[in-house]
Amino acid sequence: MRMVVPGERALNATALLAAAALLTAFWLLGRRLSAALAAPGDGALFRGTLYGMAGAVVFHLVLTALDFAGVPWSAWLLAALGAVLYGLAWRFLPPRPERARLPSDLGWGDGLALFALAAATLIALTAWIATPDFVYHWGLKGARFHLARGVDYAWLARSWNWVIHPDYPNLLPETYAVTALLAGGFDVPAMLLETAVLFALLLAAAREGLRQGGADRFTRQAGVALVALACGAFWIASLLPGGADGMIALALAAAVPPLLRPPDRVGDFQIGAIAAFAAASKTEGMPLAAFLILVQWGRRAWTGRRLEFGAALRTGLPAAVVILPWLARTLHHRLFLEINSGRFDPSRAGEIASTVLETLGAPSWHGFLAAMFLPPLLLASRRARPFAGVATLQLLFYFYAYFTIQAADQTRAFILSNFARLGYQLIPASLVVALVVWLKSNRLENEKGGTAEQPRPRVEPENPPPISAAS
Amino acid sequence: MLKKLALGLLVAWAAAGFLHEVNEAVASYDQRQRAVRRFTWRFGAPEPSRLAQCLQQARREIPAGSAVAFTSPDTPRGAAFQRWRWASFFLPDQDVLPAGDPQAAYAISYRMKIEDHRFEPLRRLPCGWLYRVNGP
Repeated sequence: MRMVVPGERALNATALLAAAALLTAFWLLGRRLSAALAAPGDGALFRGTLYGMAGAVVFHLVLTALDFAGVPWSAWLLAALGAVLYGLAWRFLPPRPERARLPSDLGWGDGLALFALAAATLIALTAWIATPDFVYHWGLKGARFHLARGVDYAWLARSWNWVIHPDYPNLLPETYAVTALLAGGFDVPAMLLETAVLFALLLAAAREGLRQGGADRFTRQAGVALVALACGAFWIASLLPGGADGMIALALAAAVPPLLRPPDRVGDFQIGAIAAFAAASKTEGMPLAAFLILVQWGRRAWTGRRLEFGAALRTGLPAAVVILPWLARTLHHRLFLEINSGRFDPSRAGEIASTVLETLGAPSWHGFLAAMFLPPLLLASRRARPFAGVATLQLLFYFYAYFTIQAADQTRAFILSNFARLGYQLIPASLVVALVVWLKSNRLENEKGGTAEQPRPRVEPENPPPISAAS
Repeated sequence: MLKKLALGLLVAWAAAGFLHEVNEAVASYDQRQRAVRRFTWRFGAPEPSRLAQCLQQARREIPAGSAVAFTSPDTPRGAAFQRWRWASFFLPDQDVLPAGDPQAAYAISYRMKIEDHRFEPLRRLPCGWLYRVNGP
């Protein structure tokens, strides 16, 4: 197999085009589900983000089905299957709703976010800031699956491979493997370009969260710039490109708009697709998927007095279809690691607290890591409560892991090695919702102070509902 | 107004942090050929590049799918583990085992030589040796 590592030669245009083609295929596949996924008020960038995530889930399910059938992957087979699925969706799924408009209100914050994205992407393409985990497992699995033309479970189950997290879900290595299939070799910068696109989608989701949250223009611009610069700095400094943490961060940020809106049918589909994407991405995505589904079910049951079967299915089925085959494979090949489970040990509390406090000063976050603890505070806001519930449960899950997994004498090293990185999964979405809530409380204060006659900030829908629906 | 000021200051702080990290990343990339331990194990740094060059030759000699043990001196502490993991990445078509695993059919020693009758030297590599492992 041809493996191109950075520094061997200039960037490989074929490999970069292969990466772009695969991501475009995700978007096209997801776009055929637009009748279910697109809410009337969603902006074009957010729709594109959701389509990309849903397409990635479809891609993962196709590869999983091929693995179960024992059919080796090939570029031609995957292209043919993609075309067949696209054609079937074209023929049988309802047409997509009205076209969404691209943002027309670009401002200084968008400019700063684009600058951060461009700078971070260019540096990532050198692979200098690639995560060590790309070498240790994400990239290694991608290269191996490319050679095996499928997920190589026998190899994952080898005794010496406990170091590569054999029990992790495989969407990211599958993406790397198929990119290598299309490119004719494993090209590291092409894989890193794909994770840079995840960062771009994260910014699009954050922008939409601020817009649908009703933030005024200044807050929207400042918010998107803040997320891009604070998280971009950490992405570069903490060597995140190439890993799957961005997928979890993207899933939570993409869940902000449907969680801020009253629950409805489209929200069910959106949460369902986002939960499935999270579950296919990384171990932390499994609890996140469960929390997203449970909170959406709870909202549906609360507003409709009961949870309808259809709503439960729309929200829960996509994640179940992802999780059950993963569980079957993992159990069958005995891939679970003993160090990932253990007795709850309350005696670790002191050490956990002191180490977390120490980690809050991580230089790579420039003080923003404390924003990881915003979700419990956001529970006080009625509107933010669904999001805050999900994010708080996820935060509690991280702490639960510190109390249970690894040996007790390694707890400190374990926290130091990953707490700041876990912050990246929660902080972008938490900053967005905190700004939305802060704006609201600020507005209420103004109203109490005698400025109630001031008009509410106007939120221009990028994609207004059809006139018939509006009237 | 106060809210706008606070938010603006937060953005300015984040922008300063971002520029600092960009500057750090670009500066360290420019100095990547210097053997500074902090940057030792990154793509483009001297140590992984040497290892990749060494393994490229070994790869031509070893049939795909073979079990290969990899060993190197553990200096500085932890380096042997790092090199083993990077060797696995550079040899994805082989099963790269930790040193001493009895299932290995081949062995690669990096920056050291193995003196053991079970290890038959096959080829001198740029930074080590390739062996065939014979039964006990």
